[in-house]
Amino acid sequence: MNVYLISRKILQAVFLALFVVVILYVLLRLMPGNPAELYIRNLKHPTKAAINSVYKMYGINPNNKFALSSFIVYLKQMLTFHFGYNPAELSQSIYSMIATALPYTLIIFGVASIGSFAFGIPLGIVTAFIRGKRSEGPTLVTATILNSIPFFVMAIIVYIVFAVYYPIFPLAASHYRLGPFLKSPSFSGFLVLIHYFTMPILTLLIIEIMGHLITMRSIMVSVLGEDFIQTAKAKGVSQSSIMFHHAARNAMVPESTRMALEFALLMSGAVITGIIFEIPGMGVLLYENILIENYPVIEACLFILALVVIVAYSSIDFIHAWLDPRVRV
Amino acid sequence: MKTNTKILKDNIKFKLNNVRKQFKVFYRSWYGKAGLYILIAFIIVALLAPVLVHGNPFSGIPSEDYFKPVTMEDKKLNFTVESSLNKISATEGEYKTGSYYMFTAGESGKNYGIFAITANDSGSSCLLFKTNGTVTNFMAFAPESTSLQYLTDIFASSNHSLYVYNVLCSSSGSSVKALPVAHISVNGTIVTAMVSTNSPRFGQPSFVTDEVMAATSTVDSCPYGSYTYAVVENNTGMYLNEYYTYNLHELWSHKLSLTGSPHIYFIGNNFITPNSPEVIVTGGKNIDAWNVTGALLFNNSYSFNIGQLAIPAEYQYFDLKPGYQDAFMSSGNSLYILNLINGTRTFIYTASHTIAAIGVSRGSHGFPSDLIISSGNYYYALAKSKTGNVQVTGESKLPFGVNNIEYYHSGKFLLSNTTTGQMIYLINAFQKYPYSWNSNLKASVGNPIMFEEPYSFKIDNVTYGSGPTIALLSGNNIIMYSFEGNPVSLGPTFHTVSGLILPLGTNIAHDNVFALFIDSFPPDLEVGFAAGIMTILISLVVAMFIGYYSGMVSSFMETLALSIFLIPTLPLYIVLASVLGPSLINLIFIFSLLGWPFVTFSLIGIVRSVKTRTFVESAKVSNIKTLSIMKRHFVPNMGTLLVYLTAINIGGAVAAVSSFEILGLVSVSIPTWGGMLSSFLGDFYSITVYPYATIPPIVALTLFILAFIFISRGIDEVANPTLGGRK
Repeated sequence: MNVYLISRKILQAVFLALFVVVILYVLLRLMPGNPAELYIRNLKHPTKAAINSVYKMYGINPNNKFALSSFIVYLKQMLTFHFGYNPAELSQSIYSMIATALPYTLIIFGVASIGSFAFGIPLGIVTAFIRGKRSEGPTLVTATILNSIPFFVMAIIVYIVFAVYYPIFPLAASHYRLGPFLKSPSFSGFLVLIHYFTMPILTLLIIEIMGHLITMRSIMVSVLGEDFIQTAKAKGVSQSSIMFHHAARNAMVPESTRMALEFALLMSGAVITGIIFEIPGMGVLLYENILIENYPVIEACLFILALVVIVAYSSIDFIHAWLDPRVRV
Repeated sequence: MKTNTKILKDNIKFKLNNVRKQFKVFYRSWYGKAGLYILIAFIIVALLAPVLVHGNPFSGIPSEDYFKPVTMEDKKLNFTVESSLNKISATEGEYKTGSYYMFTAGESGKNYGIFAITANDSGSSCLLFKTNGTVTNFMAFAPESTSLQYLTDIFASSNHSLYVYNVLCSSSGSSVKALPVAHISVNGTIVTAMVSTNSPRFGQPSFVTDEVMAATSTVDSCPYGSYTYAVVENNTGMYLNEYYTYNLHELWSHKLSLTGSPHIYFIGNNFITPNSPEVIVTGGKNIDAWNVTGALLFNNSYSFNIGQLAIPAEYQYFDLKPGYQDAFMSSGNSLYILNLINGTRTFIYTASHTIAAIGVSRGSHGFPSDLIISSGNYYYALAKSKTGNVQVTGESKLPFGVNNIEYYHSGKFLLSNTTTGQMIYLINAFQKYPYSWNSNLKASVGNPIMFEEPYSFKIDNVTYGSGPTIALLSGNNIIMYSFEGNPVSLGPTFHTVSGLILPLGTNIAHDNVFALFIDSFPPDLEVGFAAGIMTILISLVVAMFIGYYSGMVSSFMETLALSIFLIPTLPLYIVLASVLGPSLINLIFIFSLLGWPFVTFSLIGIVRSVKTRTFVESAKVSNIKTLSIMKRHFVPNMGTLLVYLTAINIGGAVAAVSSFEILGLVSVSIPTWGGMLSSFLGDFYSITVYPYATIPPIVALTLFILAFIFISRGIDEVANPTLGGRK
């Protein structure tokens, strides 16, 4: 890894972020109405002057939604993270709302992604181990089935099994108990966290682990057909050594590419399981504000989520470069 | 030289052969076969959906199927009910301190008589008074102008005797006792007897002399009287006798000319005009009407047997004024209006079967606003049109034959079959689902009586009491229902009151789950296929553009694709879907707009690798147009990969669209699998209570996505054949 590589990656990430900002701007302005409407709706005396000042505060030109001036204002807001105030409740700044909600979603996203490849990749290797045996068929079929279940269906199943039939985990997340942990981390707070977060993380884990299992296995199988494996076997290297040292190292490269592509899906999954399990994170924030059409908050949330995914994606590139020294740029 | 068409035909034949070979390889794999069969099953069900399920699945199921009655009491009485009578009686004035008193006839040990039952302690009862032999009829009535509140009068008749008793309920409602008022024996057998329930409001008629008044019993409960009528039969014929109720002093006795078993009706309480009130006796083909003074008002004989006579309740107070003089008479299949002044009859309506019961509203404004007759398996609601003739304004099928109709108010009737014990509550005779709750006691029951005063009671911490209470006898049990009813969700059942078959029961919104489920197949399949294919087409175009051209524009497009890919798509879908409106076309559009990057990335690799091959270079050199290069060289090489990606994409599209549906962002008038699950969003616990409503969509979704994944694995075999198989 050298400076040239890192700077190139950072530049690419910055470009991606810029693109995301522009795309969000265009897509969200395509809709009828404009973000200031929520605020104007709640005004007691909507005089012309008041409405104009609201528009000015938001930097929106109601006559031309795609005006350059409003785009500059928007750009400035997004890039400096000064998102303004929540139109539905003016005492809250959007930044603070996101700051309180983001950690929960990040926990789900982070643990799910790390856990899925920490567990999925060894499982994939082991499954490649048993190729040709009788137990391979059912394993693959189960993995395929579990991988193809949509997120919310898996969420429902996990909920029924773990919260209703064998009530280990709670039926609904309690905001009160979750709150204090992030301000003052403690071991008991950590246990509470596990208690509430296991179910959403579990739904994501099950689906993603199976995905990693299947792709890792197929990549391993194709790697095992290469010549150097034949050589290693001829040399007398033990089976497990072949699996883990020779084949897996080579299989990790395309696998990490797949991992990078999965991050966007994982983030959507984290958001939607957050909504379903009512964890007070970005999912619920986004859903509630969509229902009341609170566009400033929605824009900010989407931007932050996209940023997280871009960061994760770019970091995978570094891992990719570390794993495969042949990769330069 | 081959001609152009022959080349074309050969070309097509070659391609078809190729496809057939590939299909064979695909078919060999277990995955491909399974996936294909599942997909074919889905398509068949989707095509057959209009045949399997009729109508709008959201129209709900008839309310009588899912509304259940709330039972407050079902207690065995501690005496044997007089089964030939099988009725309870009570009056409106009974409601005292939360306790109704009801009265019925029966025997306990060797005691025949009238028993009192309290609603809040219905198992126990007490014998009010004994009668000489079994009771043939009895009535409870509230005397007018009485200073004591807790009073009811009971009239009873046995074969040869008439009894009048005064019932005193304690003010707390905890005890009741009966004091004798009058008792006579008649000469002959009493066939039927009744009491005119109200005393005259405007003074006594002149024939009630002081002598008669003096002969009243010493119980100073009621200074005024009412009249008791009995049809007595002895060896000289059948007579109608009138008695003054409070001393059962016979006032007159007239011979009747009836040709069948008699029924007595009384109308008019005000005694203002000379000819009102009147007592009417029907029997066979004859009808006699007498004035309380004993004068015969009319005496008619019709050509048909008279069935029932129904008099609107408020007509009792209007002195047979014009507009309040008609009663409804049924005979066989026909319904007549009977004028009570002169006995003329006017034909209104003929039904297809015998009219089994007539129900009328109170008629406080002349012609009753609600008039229901039950005939065969239908009820008919009749009304008077502006031109004055009576016609049918509503009809509907009855779930069982009805032989008793009771009116509540505002057009609500309780329809019951006293032989089979079935009851159903009709709330609006003119709407599509006119019924509310129904009950089936599976035994013969007495006529239900309704208490207008709300009787408040609690079941499971829910207080009921805003509607009337119904009480009836079934065998030796007294059963009381609240009128209110409860909507419940049904499990899979093949026996509903309306005859519907519900293979999967109902959900919380009382829709037929099976109809919803089958009707969801077409929309979901359409959305999946359309979204998937549109995405593939867009991706193909973009991928070829990016892969073929190198340089700034293509790397710009690639970064654009990557950035669209990296926005967490589900939240963006939700935002756009909620903005553009909930229609399936919008969803297909949004999905294609945001879902193309993923497939594009896979295709870019292939395009770039094909581009490096020599035939492309030679095509470029030969100055062939770019578009035809793409068509002829790139697309065939990507063929199987395209199919593979299409399969995966369609599965993904259905998964994403059903995520919207469960969040409630799709229009609720289209049945979809996710929509069936949307009611459980905040309340997953109820999934365990209604598993039959949630498991079908989950299984269908999983199987559908699975089918495509299996198909794609089958195509994988075709696209990447490995020597010796995938081992």
